[in-house]
Amino acid sequence: MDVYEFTLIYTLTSITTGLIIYFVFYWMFQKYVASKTPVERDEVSSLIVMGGFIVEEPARIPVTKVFKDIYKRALGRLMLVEEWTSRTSTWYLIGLVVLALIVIIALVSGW
Amino acid sequence: MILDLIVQALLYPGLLFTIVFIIFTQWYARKLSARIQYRRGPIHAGPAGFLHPLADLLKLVAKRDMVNKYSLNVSPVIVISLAIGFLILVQLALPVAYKPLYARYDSLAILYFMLIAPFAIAYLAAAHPNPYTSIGVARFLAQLVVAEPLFAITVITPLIIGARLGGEYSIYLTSILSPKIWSSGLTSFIAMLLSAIAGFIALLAVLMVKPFDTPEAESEIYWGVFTEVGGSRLALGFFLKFAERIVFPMLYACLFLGCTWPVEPSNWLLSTIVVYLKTLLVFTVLTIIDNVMPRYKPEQVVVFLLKYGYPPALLGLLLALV
Repeated sequence: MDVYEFTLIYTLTSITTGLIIYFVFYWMFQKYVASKTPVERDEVSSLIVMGGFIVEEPARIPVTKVFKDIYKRALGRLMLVEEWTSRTSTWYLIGLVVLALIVIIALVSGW
Repeated sequence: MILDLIVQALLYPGLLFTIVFIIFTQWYARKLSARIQYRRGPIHAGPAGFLHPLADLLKLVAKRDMVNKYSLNVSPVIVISLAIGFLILVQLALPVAYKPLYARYDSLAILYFMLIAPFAIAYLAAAHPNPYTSIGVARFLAQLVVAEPLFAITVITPLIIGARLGGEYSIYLTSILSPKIWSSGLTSFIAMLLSAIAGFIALLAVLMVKPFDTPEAESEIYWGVFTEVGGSRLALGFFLKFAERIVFPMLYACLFLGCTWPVEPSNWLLSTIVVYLKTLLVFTVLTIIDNVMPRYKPEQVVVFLLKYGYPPALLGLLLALV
């Protein structure tokens, strides 16, 4: 079997398995079991409540904005300077040097 | 061959067995967590509460499907179902399958298929808008951007070394050769050790185990990626998440923990038991870490993975290449 055949067989089998999961665990249960479950809803259930207050539309937070913010804080200049000045003399740098030495020695010695 | 494929996909080690194994591992995880936290854990459903995860699953799938008016209706459920299919079938390419599916360079396809699972969880969350969900998705994506390549690098290292011994960049063949890879020279041993350490860190991050559970962050952003989903959608989301906690540790055990060693792969039954025991060992360590560690901030996750994950992973890869 080559990798193309493998990918094709794997993909078709996975899609079949996935669809069986969809039909059994979602479609069948919804049709034959969940549809008989009583719905407990009143006029308040459909209201959107944010922080205890009824609002017209829920607040939206752009995913990209949070994503960029996380990386800005992780890789920002201030963070790097702070990390560098506070940790250069600690075990992290020593660990890196030791690791690099192990690799260099292993390569030079031809182990 | 088609019959074998269908049996393996739907019964063992595919769908049915995975469900049973998830029920067992989740019961075990709850009992272990309870022990660490001085609680009793599940006790009511089944002997020693063994059927509690099954009761939870049935309770969720039996609920009427309800979403808010800003949500997508059908696509998230189909995407998550397909992702479960792609993920659990990775086991067909491992020695636990009685007729394993493998090919030269199949690792490329398998790594790609494994990538689908976490992004399907992110899609499920993003399809049900909520401020806390958005934060969870952003955190999850930020984490995956650093964690997934790290995991891939660490998996590539044994594949490269194994290729010199006849592994042909196949997950199954490399798994079988795993003990030989460790003992094929000092350079290989160091490369494997560094990759195993980095791979375990990546495993924690991909599986959202503490300290890397910022995308869920219970009590901080409610439930992050799972805040807005309930009923059958939550059941499928959890199915995928719990399946990840079996398949990823199994792959780790196969590539880094000697796979079937000390049993010969020719003895299928015994070697399969060994692989499951090693998978359980990794699962146990993950559960203990999940219970005893505090949570990182999202930016700390990124910094930690870059600082402590990538250097050993890249050095291991460098050693494997030379």
